[in-house]
Amino acid sequence: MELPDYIKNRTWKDYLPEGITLEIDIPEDLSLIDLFEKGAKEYGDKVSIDYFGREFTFKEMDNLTRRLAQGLLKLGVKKGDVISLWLPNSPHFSICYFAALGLGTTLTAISPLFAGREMAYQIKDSGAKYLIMIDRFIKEFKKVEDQLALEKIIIVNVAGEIPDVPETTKIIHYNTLLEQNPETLTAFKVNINPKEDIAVIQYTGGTTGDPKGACLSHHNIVANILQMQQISNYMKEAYIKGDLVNICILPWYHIYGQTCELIQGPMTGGKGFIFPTFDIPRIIETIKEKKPNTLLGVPTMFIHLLNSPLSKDVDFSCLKYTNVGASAMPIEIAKEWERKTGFPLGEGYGLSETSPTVTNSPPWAKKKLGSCGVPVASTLCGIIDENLNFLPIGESGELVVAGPQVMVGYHNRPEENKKVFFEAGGFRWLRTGDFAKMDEEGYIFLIDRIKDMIKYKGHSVYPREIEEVLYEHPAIQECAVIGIKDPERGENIMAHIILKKEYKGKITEQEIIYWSREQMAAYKYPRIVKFVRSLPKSAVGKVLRRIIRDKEAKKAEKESSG
Amino acid sequence: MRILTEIEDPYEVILKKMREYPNDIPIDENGKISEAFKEYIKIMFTPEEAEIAQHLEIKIVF
Repeated sequence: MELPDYIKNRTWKDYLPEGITLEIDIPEDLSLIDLFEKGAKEYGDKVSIDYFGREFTFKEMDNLTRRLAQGLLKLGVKKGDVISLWLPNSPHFSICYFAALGLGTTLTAISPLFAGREMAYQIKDSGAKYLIMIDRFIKEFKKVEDQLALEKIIIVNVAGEIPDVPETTKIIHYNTLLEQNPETLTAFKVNINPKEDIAVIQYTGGTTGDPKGACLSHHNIVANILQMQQISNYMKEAYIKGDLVNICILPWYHIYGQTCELIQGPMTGGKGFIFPTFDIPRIIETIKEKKPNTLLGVPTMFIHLLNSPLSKDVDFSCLKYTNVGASAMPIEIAKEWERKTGFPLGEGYGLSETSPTVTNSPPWAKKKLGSCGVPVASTLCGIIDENLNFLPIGESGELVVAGPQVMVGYHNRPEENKKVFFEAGGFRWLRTGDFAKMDEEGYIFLIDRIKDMIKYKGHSVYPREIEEVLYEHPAIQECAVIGIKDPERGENIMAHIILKKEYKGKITEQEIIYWSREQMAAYKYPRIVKFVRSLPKSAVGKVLRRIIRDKEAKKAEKESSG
Repeated sequence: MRILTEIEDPYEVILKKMREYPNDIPIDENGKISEAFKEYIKIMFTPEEAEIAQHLEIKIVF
């Protein structure tokens, strides 16, 4: 199939400044470990991480990583094994991440907000043999321990203390592994094939409801780091005039946090202030006292930072490089942020399946409100119809992507892989499931999601997953979960429920909300529950969430207009 | 001569130190330490113990 001119020509090349190219060199033999080692060698004595005032140099992080790798090796960890990390942002996360990658294993990072059952699903689906987790999660872990075929569990305390969980033949303290290995592993001897070896299985969701593991090779992630580096290098030269000093607020279990914060450090020699939680007072205090110049986040984080009474008199003008992703940024909030910092806020678009960045607003060109920018370097974007035909410029359809950051495929899901990939014009295209249009200058405007995914405070919430849990409640006969627009959260989670006859009048909506809260992560449970008599369905009996959503949107519009 | 005008409550000193530590303590959205946690600390330490404990350093161990 011939590609339309707008894809081939990439009109935004006309306004690229000197030094910024449409295509970049992404060496095929470069692995994430090569980047890590290069960082340690090049920036050795510079501070890499500031964690509650405790500074770690690149050399020290390298040393700790190699000691842990030695310990993991002695435990029997080998190339091809899957290691799951259930950790908040901390130096431990970085040490475990690179130690595991250095041994040629595949990582799957689990959200620290997950309940035991969600964590268990990811471990089982990814085939993880090892789990590295913090001591605080032990209660949740115990709930599902007997379902998991784990060989070893390594327990971490985020302050470096001895964890309050006794060691057994299966449970080992992180501290023990370090103590037993004062000598570092001098070289990561394992051979990594960056294009074929999977570095990360990043869990996303899908229309089927079950979260799917996107397999990202070393090459995929390295490519995206280099693509984003084109932007960060420009920001360094044009605005920052020095090293990136990043206030790291993105969660590292998410690919956005991994690519743009965790790995950017060793890549650029920048420093990161890190916190285990999104702690607004501490973040504002750090901005005030330490004057970081870089902050990447999701819309809800910017809303919280702007709305906090603590930020009222704080000067944010040190934040010269800020970028937002994960869900569309409300225009008013973007404007307010720019007023507060005095610098333009970049906006990007990405997916777990694309490591994650696909587009970003080019800091060297005009910003278009409501657009998530143009494709990053070495990336093609197109708009297709339902028959996979490319549409002309300006028309709305499904956004498709081709580039080196596009995943190898979903883990153990051949049928899903057949659905999301297609070949055209000599490229392998990924269907994003997002409805968008592109203007003549290559700027992309997201219109809506084809999938029913809900974006709650930047977190992806999949209705079917929530519905599956709701169905476990004895009172629920049928249900449908939808996202409704919410100015603060992006979208809020609403459940329409049909009660079983015997429960009608005997249970309240609030009781369902309380029950749900106990069953799933805090960002997933429905905040609004409505008892209804029926649900709209298709001819084959499939619940039509779209109709419920439209109905609720109209109702909200009517209420707001008085 | 320096006149000591204000003596900080030893419980407040302990709480401040605990707040500057990764294991952290509960706070509200305005950054104020939870009242319940303050009560808890008073149960944990007698006034005499708090006098001593306020001088102890909490360090991140690696």
